[in-house]
Amino acid sequence: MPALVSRCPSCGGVLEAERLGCPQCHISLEGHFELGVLERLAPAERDFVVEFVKASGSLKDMARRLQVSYPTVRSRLDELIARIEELEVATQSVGGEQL
Amino acid sequence: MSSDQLQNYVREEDPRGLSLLVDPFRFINGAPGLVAGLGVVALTVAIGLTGVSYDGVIDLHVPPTPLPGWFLAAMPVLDWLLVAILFCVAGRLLSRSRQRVLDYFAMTALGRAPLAVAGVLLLPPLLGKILAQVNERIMANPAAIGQSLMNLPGLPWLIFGGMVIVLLMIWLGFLNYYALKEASGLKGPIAVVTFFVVALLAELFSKVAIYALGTLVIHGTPL
Repeated sequence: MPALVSRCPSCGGVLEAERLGCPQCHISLEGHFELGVLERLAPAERDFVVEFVKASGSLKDMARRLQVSYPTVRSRLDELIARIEELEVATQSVGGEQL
Repeated sequence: MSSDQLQNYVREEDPRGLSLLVDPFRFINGAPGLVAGLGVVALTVAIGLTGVSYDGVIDLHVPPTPLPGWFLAAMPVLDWLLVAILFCVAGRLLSRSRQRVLDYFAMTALGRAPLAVAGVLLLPPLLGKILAQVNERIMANPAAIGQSLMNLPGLPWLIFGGMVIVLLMIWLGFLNYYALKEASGLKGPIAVVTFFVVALLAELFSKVAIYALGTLVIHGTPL
């Protein structure tokens, strides 16, 4: 299954889902489904979040799992926090424009 | 995504090549970093015991008059602790990142490496004996020191050594900047400004602390 893309490859705009389908009963729903902040992260960033949660939020544990140093993991986490905040601000401003 | 791919993503911005000279802290930190750093501090203490005076966080001299061994040994430890504590306080106040107190002590101890190398250069078999002669001439006739130094044996070596020490001091500045950055997670202009302010404060505090310690030795009461 291809990875979910959140940015338009043509103009770079934020994508939204227009069609959802159930693989079991094949029902499909059409509409405008907004992607959440986590879905808008790049696949590597999403995997980092998943690993971080699995490590109970322990940077020390995560550093050990990934065999990297504590400052390396901490630096990535800081970048990810900044990225999530940026996405939240972007979502809020889009929401504001729609109102 | 495999574990290797995630590891590569996480390590993407780790310093490589020559930048490791100024930022080795992603690879050596925590408890192993502290052990290595204590080795560096121990080396500065040993150099101090030979007569080199670390009288400030970025200073080292060959004093004109001999100082007590314990005082010479205490100065580099005091300098290191002051830098570590001030960096830690600044990091705690200004950074939102998670921090380990251990990293401040480990990274600032490792950051003293250029001072240890500079101290080796000031040992008596190298520049120390030339500097001892400079001190003798200053004590004998301070007014004519300029002329007196022109015929100093080993003057070219002293100039060359001085240039090497200037380079070491630049290295010291970069190493300590990255020590603060990696230990605190501070980034960008705030990291630069914090570093300069804290370095200045550390230099001032170290001078006051060393002066207080010195007067305690001489008069039995601090300051």
